[in-house]
Amino acid sequence: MNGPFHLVWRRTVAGIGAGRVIRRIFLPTIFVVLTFGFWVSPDFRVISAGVAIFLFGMISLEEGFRAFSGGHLERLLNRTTDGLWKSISFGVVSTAVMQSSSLVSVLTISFLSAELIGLASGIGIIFGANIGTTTGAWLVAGLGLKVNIAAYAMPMLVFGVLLIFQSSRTLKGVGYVLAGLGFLFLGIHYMKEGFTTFKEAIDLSQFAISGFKGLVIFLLIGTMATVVMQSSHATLVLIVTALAAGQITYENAIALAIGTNVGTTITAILGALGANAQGKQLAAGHLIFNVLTGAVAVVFIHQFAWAVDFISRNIGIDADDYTLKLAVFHSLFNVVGVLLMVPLIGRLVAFLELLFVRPEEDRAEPRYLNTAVLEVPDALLAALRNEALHLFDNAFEIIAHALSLHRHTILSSTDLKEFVAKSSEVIDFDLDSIYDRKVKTLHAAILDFISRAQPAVSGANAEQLNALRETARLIVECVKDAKHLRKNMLRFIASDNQYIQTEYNVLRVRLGTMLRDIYRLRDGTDPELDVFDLDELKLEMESTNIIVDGTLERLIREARITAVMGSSLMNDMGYGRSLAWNLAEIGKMLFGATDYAASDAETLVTLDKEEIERLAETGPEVRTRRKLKQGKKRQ
Amino acid sequence: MKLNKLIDAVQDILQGEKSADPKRKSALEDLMAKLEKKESKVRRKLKKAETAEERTKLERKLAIVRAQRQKGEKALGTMSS
Repeated sequence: MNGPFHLVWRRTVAGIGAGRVIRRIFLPTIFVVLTFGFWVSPDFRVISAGVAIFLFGMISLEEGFRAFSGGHLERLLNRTTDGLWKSISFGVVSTAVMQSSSLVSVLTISFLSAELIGLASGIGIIFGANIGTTTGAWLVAGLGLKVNIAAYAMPMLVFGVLLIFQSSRTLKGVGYVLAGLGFLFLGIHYMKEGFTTFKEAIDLSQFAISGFKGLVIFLLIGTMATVVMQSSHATLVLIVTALAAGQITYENAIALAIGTNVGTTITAILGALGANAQGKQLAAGHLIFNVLTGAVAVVFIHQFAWAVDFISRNIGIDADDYTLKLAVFHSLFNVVGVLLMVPLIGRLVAFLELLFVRPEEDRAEPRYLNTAVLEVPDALLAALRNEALHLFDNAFEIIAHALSLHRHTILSSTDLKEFVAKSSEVIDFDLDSIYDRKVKTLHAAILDFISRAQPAVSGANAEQLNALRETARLIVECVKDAKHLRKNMLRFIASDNQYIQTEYNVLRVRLGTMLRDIYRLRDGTDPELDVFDLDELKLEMESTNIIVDGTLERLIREARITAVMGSSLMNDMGYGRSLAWNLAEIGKMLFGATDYAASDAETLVTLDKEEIERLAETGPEVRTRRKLKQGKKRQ
Repeated sequence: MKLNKLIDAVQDILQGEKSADPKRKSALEDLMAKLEKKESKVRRKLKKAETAEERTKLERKLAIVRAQRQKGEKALGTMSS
């Protein structure tokens, strides 16, 4: 191709990118083809409208199920995906109920990206979804074609739309599900009607191609049709209705059904484009599984045909009931595919992890924030929680070093009191540069992500989103407090004056203990420890306040420390106190209950500043001090 | 399910987000039961405490749990039954 047209084409491709060119051409082409089809045949118009109504029904059904995904889905996933067979069962049941393998794959990619589930579990769900999606063919062939489902569709639509107008989220969800089912039924009805009258004008079965050539051509048509509609379910319903009307042969319908299995992976691939390495691994796993299953079906097509006849005979399906036989074939080849792949799942996971390597861990870069999790509120909150933990990990190192304590010392079971008494080692590092690199950048990324996620959440989820934003802010505050505290601490923990050294060491031990307890809460290594114990650390901090109990004044009066030292200590006590309170709040937010009601109960019971101060005034330390004073007076 | 419970459940659904209140109350009740157990455990430990340091620590823990329980009881009282 040469000449001016070639030049324009090259410039266009180079200027806007090949992908965008395809997208720009694709949609107008579809419009032109459809418009031409509508003009030529009114029946084609009815069939297309049936497909459009069916797809709209699926969108509505998905919307309805999304309304129920606020926490319930997360709990269900956690409970049902801890074993491979459980994951497969979850995939089968959820797809059969929601009648959308696309929704299940998008949810699975979101959960995997947020690390709520592992890759093996994700692949298990996808395997199960492939079996679950075959229930669609059974429903249409067994019920949709034999019963006048349009009669059921009408009341469903009326009640559904009525419920959609309600303010309750649950009722709205039920409304969308009902309307979705109504539209699905109506779509099937129109497809059935369209094909029946279409046959009177044009007999498509005259284009049937038999043999291996036909198998390959119709497999490709099935794949393309599913890619265009992005729904294997809709394509399959179209195939079943066309088969029922005698517009396609049973042999070609089988090839088309295999094609839908390959084409359906497009949804997962598109969903994984914005996902992290794990999301891409799952999409690739889905593609490999479906292509391999399709290949097995093509290679052993005669054996499958024999098996379908055998099963059909035994379960009472007539020899000429091709629609139900197609449903048997669809289920059989997907079940066989899963049975063949299950023993190889370990190798598949290893291969996928090699194919999409998780990038080298850069502690400054966000690990969990990607567009794939924006789809599902549960996954979004889990990803943000994980990212806040990532931020806390980075901050932990800075705070520990600011206290001149190594991370491993805090995380070990070393007696911190003994350790600081023996070691006056000062950890020297560039706090500002590490703060800029590991905390500020990550905090900015979290804020940016929350601002993008805000419109997608509401109610209790929005409250949790705000709480996570606040947690991220408190983590940054902690680093700032540690920075101020470090300035004098560096000087005084290596000082010759043992009094000032002791006071700073007490502060180091308290804050170190708090960091240790927060990590124990995270690991769950200490079953006796819960978020309420953080109040105890706050109380300890308040009731041993050397400014309140007069120790600071006494040290200056007795010339144990200079007034300048006293002033520094006073300021640093303030920073230490603020650090401790913020750490306790972070601990509660990150390691407390995730369920909104339980989290609310925890907040209600947690003691606030005034309550802790009141307790400190009458606490055990104060009583001990009073007893000591009374003893001295008597003497 | 008894008729009253059924009516309550339907009302909860119709009220939408307001239905979260019974869940909040039941979560708080669960938490109060946990804190009660924790308090008796701390009391038992306190009786066996040998050193003054251990005693002070346990007394502080006890004071905290008691205050948390009091706060929780107060919150439960304000929640509609």
